[in-house]
Amino acid sequence: MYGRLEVPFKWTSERNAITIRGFKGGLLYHRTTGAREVRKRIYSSRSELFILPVEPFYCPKMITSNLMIELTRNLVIPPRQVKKIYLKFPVEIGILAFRDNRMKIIDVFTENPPNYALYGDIKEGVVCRYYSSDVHVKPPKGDPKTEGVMEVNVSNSTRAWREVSKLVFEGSIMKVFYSDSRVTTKARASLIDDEKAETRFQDRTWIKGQKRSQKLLTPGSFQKLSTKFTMEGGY
Amino acid sequence: MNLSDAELLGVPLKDVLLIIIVVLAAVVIGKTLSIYLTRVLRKRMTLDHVKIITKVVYFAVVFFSAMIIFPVIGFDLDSFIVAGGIFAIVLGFAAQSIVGNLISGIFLIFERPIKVGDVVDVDGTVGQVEDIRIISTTIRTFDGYFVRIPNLTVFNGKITNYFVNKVRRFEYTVGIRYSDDAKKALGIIQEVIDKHPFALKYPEPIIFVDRLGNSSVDISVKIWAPFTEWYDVKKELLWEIKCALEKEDIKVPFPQTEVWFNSKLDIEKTA
Repeated sequence: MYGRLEVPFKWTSERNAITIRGFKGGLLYHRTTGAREVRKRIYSSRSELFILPVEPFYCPKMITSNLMIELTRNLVIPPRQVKKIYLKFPVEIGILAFRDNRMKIIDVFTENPPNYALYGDIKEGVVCRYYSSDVHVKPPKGDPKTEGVMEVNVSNSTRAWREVSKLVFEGSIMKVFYSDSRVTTKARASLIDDEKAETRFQDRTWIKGQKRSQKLLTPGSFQKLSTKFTMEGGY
Repeated sequence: MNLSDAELLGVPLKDVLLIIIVVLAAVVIGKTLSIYLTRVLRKRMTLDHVKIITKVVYFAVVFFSAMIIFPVIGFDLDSFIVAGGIFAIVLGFAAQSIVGNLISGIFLIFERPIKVGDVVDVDGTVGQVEDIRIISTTIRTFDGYFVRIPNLTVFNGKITNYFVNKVRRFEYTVGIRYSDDAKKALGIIQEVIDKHPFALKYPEPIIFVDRLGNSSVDISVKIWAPFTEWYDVKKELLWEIKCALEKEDIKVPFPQTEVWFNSKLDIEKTA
């Protein structure tokens, strides 16, 4: 479902209806999501159009680059152990135009109604894109239109048992990979003490042969200098 | 000729040397302080404010060096102090508000209760801060007005800064009929809030029956939203809640009054 688009193109789901058709000298883009409509006229018939999974920070508008995944069941880790787990994360879908190695975002939409939450206190905390996921020990199946699967290596380097209820990530370095059946990303989380943990996305997938998706967010998008996220308000 | 007796324009040479040393020291100290302050304050305030503060400091150093030099060249400092004192009193009365605003401006720049771009309420004036100058602060209201407020008013007044925290809470009171199912209404309101992307999951929204009013059961709804989206969320959700409740035949009642009469009423029906 992801990859290069052939015009005319049609996509219909419960949430979105998209059509792309040609006209003399260009392309007409039309999306309907409920009562909202997006119409664009692309004056380039030589551009290549792609439909790709992108980082989940654009819908309904970009206000953060942090992703919070709340675990439906807490993860309990013994002292000095590393556990590999799989979590689901929300996927947004980008319609992108390319010409002469230049990219233009035509539209970003989601099949997954987005939610946001605050991590930390109201003054120093961060607003995050929110998602709830089960903890899986094996890669779960999921609809690549709505969800991706993230492999997370959670390491407890402390001398005590630790319990994790949520993980917050800095998404400006998030890399999304895709194939026909799955959207993936990879991350790690280090539990430092009873309140503090560090998380970081990794620049590789955990399935061989997947393609790297186009990255839309950059560290400059929110003037973030650090590529890791330090959870200081508990996990 | 003895060097200690030498004079230049009637001033002993050793005093001339002292004056030169004091002037050079004043220039060096003044410049050094200016560079240091520029470096320290540059990240905390705008360049205009830094320039004003460094100039004030530089001229203060020059003033103190002049206080050292004047007695050496035979200038009577006592008469200068008396004259300066009278001048300062006159100037103080004349420029009371300007000095007050200036000092308040300096405190505002250092204390930073508001910053350029913040949405604030300064003594009832609500809008976005456009500029904080040394004498006054300018605010663009949401009606499009440009309001200049003297810094003394800003400093002494009550300031509410809506941009300090990352999130902001708002609340509604939703009244339903006594005959309606309040538990069902709470569930519908929760569902509407859950569907709005910017009604935050955490801190969690709070929905509860708050009051048994004269005409309605009043449900209190408290919702958190990112400070940038707060107003849009507030605008959208109340109508969505109203529509969702009405869809389930839960209605907002009109004010009702039951009137009891002691005697039987003879009501004549007219055609």
